[in-house]
Amino acid sequence: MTRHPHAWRHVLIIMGVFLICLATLLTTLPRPYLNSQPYRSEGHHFMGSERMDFKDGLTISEPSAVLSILERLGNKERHVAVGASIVETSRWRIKIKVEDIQASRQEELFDVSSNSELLFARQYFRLGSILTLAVLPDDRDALCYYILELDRLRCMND
Amino acid sequence: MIYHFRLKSRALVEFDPELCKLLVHKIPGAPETLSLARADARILELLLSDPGAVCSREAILEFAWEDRVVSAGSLNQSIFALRNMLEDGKDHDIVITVPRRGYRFNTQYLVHSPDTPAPQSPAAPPGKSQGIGPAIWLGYLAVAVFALFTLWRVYAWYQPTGDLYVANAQQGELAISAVGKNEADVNNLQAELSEFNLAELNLRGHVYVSRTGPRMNLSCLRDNGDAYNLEFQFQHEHFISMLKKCVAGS
Repeated sequence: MTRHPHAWRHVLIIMGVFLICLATLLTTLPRPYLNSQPYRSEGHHFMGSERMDFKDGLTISEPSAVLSILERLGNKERHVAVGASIVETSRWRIKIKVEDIQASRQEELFDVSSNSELLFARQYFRLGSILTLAVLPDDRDALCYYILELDRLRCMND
Repeated sequence: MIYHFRLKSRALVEFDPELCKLLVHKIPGAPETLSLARADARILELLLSDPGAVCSREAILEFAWEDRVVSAGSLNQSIFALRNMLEDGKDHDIVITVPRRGYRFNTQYLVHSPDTPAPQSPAAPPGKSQGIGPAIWLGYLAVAVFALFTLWRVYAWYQPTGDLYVANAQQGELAISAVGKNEADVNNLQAELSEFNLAELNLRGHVYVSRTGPRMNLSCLRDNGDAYNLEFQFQHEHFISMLKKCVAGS
């Protein structure tokens, strides 16, 4: 410093750029969801002549997420809660790892074996599975995503 | 870099730090070349690099003798010799002592001739040998790497990964987005949907449509903002009724 009397100017520039970068990295980049906000949706699943009602819930509280599914077919109900950890997040992707599955009953409400896509999608819900939620851009207060591994499309309200 | 200044006798002096020489243009008389000791020349170079600014004794010691450790007496001796060389031995008006702070060059004696560059600005370090040190270069390098990492992180945050395709269309007041993992399939689906003349249905809202084998998935954002989802086997007529149910709730 003393050898280079004007080194402090360079140090100021370096520190300035460093602080700007640090602030950029530490500033919360825009996420596709509101943290700890419960998102819900409902809908119907038609399998031949059967109609199953379902309600989905998704709450992401970094670094974990909970996905809950309530299915109702006639007078039968099945509730599944999936605990997951967030593996990666970006503006358009949420990658989660299934850590825990709690189901009110093990057997499905309807015979999924007759539909290969459904069978595959449901079997993918296993401990350790990585699910990628590809978020779809939308200008409303909703969270729409496509789960790449399950080929499942969902829109949810907060 | 050649520095120009005058002595009290008005003689013009050219100082070349590289050669450690003073070329004194006396009035009248032929120019006279004086050689400076290396340390003396370095001191004068440092003082002239930022004329008027006070250079601390420590800065002068480090600059003039670089990696050598010398006593304060060596500095006093060099200043003494330099002042004598500049005919400034009596009143110390060219190389001014600033008590408890160091020394500075009196800017009144500087000459800014148009054909010679003005003394360097404080922002520009003098000469190659006085360029910014390795620590500063390392600092710039480190912060450049850090800045690149930051840019990459921000870019990666916003960059879609290309594993999902969306084809958007508008039919009346209904926005339709075909979604899928294969671009050709998505475009085909959107083309099929455009054949339905959905504008005639007077539906409002936004529907996302995906198809996996014979199964269709509709996710709708209704006009009132509510979300609704349907999964069913694809059939032409069935699709219209499902779309109405999904978007309009009917």
